[in-house]
Amino acid sequence: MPINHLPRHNKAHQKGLALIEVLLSLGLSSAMFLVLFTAQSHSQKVLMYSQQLHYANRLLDQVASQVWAYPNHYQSLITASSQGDISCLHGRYCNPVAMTQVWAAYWQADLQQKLPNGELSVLCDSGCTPGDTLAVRLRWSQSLVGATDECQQGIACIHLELAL
Amino acid sequence: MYTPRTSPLTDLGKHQGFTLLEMVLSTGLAALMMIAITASLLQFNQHKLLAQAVVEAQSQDQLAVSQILRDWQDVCESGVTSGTAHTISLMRLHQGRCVHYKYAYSARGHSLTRRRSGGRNSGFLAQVESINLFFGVDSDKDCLIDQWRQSYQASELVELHQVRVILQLRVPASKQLRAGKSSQWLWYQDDDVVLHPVNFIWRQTNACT
Repeated sequence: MPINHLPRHNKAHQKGLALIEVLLSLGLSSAMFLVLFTAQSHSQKVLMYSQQLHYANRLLDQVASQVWAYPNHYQSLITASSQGDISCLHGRYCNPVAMTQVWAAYWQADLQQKLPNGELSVLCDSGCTPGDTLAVRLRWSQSLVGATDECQQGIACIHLELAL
Repeated sequence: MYTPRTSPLTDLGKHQGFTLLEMVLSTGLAALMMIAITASLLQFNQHKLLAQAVVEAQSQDQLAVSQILRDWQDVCESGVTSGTAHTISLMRLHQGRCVHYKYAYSARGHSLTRRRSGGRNSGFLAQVESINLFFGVDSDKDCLIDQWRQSYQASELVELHQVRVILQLRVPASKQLRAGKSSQWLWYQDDDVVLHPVNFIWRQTNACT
C-alpha cells in the first residue's frame, strides 16, 4: 500500500511518549536511586560500626592494663568522678585512688566523644578475690546490632574476661 | 526512498517539533535527573575514599601496635634502661643474649628508627608523624604506678611498670575528603595525609615479681 494511503490517526498516535511511559521511567529511576542511596547509607553505618569496634577494643585493652596495675581498686577504675586530676597522667605524683579516678574520668570523657551512650563496667564473679574472674564490659547504642543473649537489639556489647 | 509529492504540507506542520512547554518540561526533568545522578556519583566517590582511608588507618594502627609490642616482648630482665618523650632504650634478646636497643623518632624521615648496640640506625616503623612516651613508674615501692613521667632512668628508687605510647600515624588520603563532612580527620598541612592517633600501653611483665 502506498505510504500516503496510510491512515493519518495511526501515525499521530505513534509520535512522542505517553504519560504512563514517562511516569514509569521516572518511577524506575527513582527506585534505582533509592536503592543506591540505601545501600550507601548502610555501608556508611557499617564503616562507622567498624570504627567503633576498633576504638572499643583499644579501650578495653587500656582498661585491662590498668586493672592489672591497680589490684584492689577495680571499682574506682570505672567510677568517673569530677575529682580526676589530668595532671596525674602527665608527670604529677598521685596515690592509687587518684590515679584510678583520673583514668576513669579520662575514659569516660573519651567514651562520650567516640561511642553514643557508651557505658563501661567492671564486674567480678564474687568479691574480686584471687581466683575470681573479672569482666570488663563495654556497651553503646548501635542500630546495626541485633539482639543477643547478653544485649538487647540496638545495643553493641563487647567484653573481656580476666582471671585474677 | 519514495517521497510523496502530493502530501498536504499544512497537516504535517501541525505535528512536527515540540512546544515550548514540552521543551521546558523535558529540560527540567533531564536537569533533575542529571543532578541526582551527579550527586549520587559524587557521594559514592566520597564514601569510597572515606572507606579507603578508614580501612588504611585501621590496618596501619594494628600493624604499628603489633610491631612495637612484638619487638618489646623479648625484653630481658633489666628491661627499659632509659627513655624520654621521643626515645626509649631497652635490653632485649638477640640471638640468645641481651643486647642494648635504642628506639628513636626521626622527624626528617617521619619514622621510628631502631639501633642495636654497635649497629646502625634502621627504619622500624614508617609513616609516623609524632611519638610521645609516658613511663608509668612506682616511686614508693608499693607496686602501684604513682607517676607517669616523660623521662625515665633505671635506678633503685623507681620501678617501671608500664609505658604509654601515643603515636600519630600518617595515613594517605585523597584531598577530595577535605571537602567532605569528615571533620574528625586531622589533616597534615598541604599533603594528602591525615593524622591518625594511636594510643596503647606496653606492660613490663616482670615488674614487682
